[in-house]
Amino acid sequence: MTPKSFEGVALVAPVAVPYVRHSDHGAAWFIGRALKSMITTTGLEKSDVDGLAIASFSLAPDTAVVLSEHFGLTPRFLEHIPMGGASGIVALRRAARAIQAGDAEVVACIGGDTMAKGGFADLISNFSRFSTDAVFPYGAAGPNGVFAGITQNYMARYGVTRADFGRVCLSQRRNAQSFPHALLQKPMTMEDYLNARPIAGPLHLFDCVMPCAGADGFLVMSTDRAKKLGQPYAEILSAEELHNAYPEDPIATRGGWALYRDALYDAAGAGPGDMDFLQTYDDYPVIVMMQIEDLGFCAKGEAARFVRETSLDVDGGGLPHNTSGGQLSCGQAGAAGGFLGLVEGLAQVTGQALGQAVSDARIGLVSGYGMVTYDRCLSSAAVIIARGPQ
Amino acid sequence: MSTPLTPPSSRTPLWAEITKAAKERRFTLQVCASCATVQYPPREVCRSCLSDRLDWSQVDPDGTVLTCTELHVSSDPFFQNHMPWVMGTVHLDCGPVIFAHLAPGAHKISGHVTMINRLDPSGQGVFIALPKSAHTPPQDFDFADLLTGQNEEGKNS
Repeated sequence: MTPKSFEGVALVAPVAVPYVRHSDHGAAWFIGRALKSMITTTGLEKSDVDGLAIASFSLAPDTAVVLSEHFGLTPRFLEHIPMGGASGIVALRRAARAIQAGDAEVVACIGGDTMAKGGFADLISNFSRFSTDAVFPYGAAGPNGVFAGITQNYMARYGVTRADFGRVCLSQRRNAQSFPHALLQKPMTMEDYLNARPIAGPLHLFDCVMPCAGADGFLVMSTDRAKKLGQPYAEILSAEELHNAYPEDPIATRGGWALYRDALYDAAGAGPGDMDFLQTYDDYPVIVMMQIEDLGFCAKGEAARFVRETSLDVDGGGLPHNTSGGQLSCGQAGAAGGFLGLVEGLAQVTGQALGQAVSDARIGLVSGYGMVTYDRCLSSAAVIIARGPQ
Repeated sequence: MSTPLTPPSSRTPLWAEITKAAKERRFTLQVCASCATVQYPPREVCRSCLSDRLDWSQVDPDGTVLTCTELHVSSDPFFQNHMPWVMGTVHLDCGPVIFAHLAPGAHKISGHVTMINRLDPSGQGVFIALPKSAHTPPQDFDFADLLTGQNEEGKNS
């Protein structure tokens, strides 16, 4: 059965609460600042927000429901989306359907996390039951240990070098130069990248994201409502998610994107070549390459060649990719990492980019990847967004 | 000095059977009584047929190294004192993919290994992959030999 379109849904007010390396604030501070910023931007009243879709790790032991009390809201639609790097697109999908069904009129989708000193060690030591039993006791390396193996296997299987990954990382660092919230803006050379200290297997320092605190979010409402507010908005041409794809693969070389990309492009009436930009989930550069392949920008195993031949810079004349610098330059603010690329994509198509704008960005693809509970991430998601009629 | 450092000791209740088997130097995993699927990590119901009749059984411990990772950074003080630490994944011939400590000689991708279950210094069972061609018989290998082996490799490099 073909899913219904997302017609009539508007994505409004992409906001970013500036990232900081550590914070003594709770997660609710970052999420609350994002909500406040959306309200200020759009001129809505707080009470107009009748839906919340929240992703956060450090809100625990609380869930999204406590935020209704904390923020003095009475939402009739509430989602807690514990899907890490896929949470932004999953939140978008849930919220869009709620708008279409009339279950809510204005849904605030926010990913936000704090980061206390030592907070990352606490997060990885108790991330999942499978991890507690069967991963963490083997060196306590967190996701670095898992993705080192995935990276090593990918490099050997497809003849990929560290310098190929370096092209992705260097491009993102260049893109971060103009993005005011990026925590890592220092120019990086290939020599810097290759000589970085080793972390795990083929992964070195600049292959890994820096944990930090922050929030990113956007509002979902009807296109009519967005027009009444006089807000620029984006529309959803198509959006997909899939969880635990390819469970039979002994080691991850692909994600769920490959299983639904044809449906994604068919529903959007567009193909990879039509995209003005691509925002991938960049927890590690190998995952960027998998998304470039599985989303059809090149054949499987060809992403290294693709990044050798195609500029990923905002203004490189190729495929603008992770145009705010991505998590590799901005930092990974917990579940906000699952919103960063989506919020940047929304900012680009609505003419509100904080950093350098992609020239005449009308349509773009954003993908997500989340939740490494054992030996790979389980959740994949992708959305094609387009500039709404002015 | 305070209490000696140990690797992380936290486990879910499902791990108790593995630690119990480690005390007896047995390699056991859950096997579905309905469809015979071997399970890992330990779980509540069968990943194939959803039966909850998962019996702890001795299974074929042989497999192939899928990934071999030298760790240089850890969030745990025990491992921080033993860097670099070598771990990886092993694809068992009976099905599952298992994270394990890789003993010296078992650091080769696609190498054939035998999995053993031993107590680590935290008192929990952990899996160690030994090379099939090891000089030390698998039954004689302990977690402590892993530390010795890694130190010797460090000296050589």
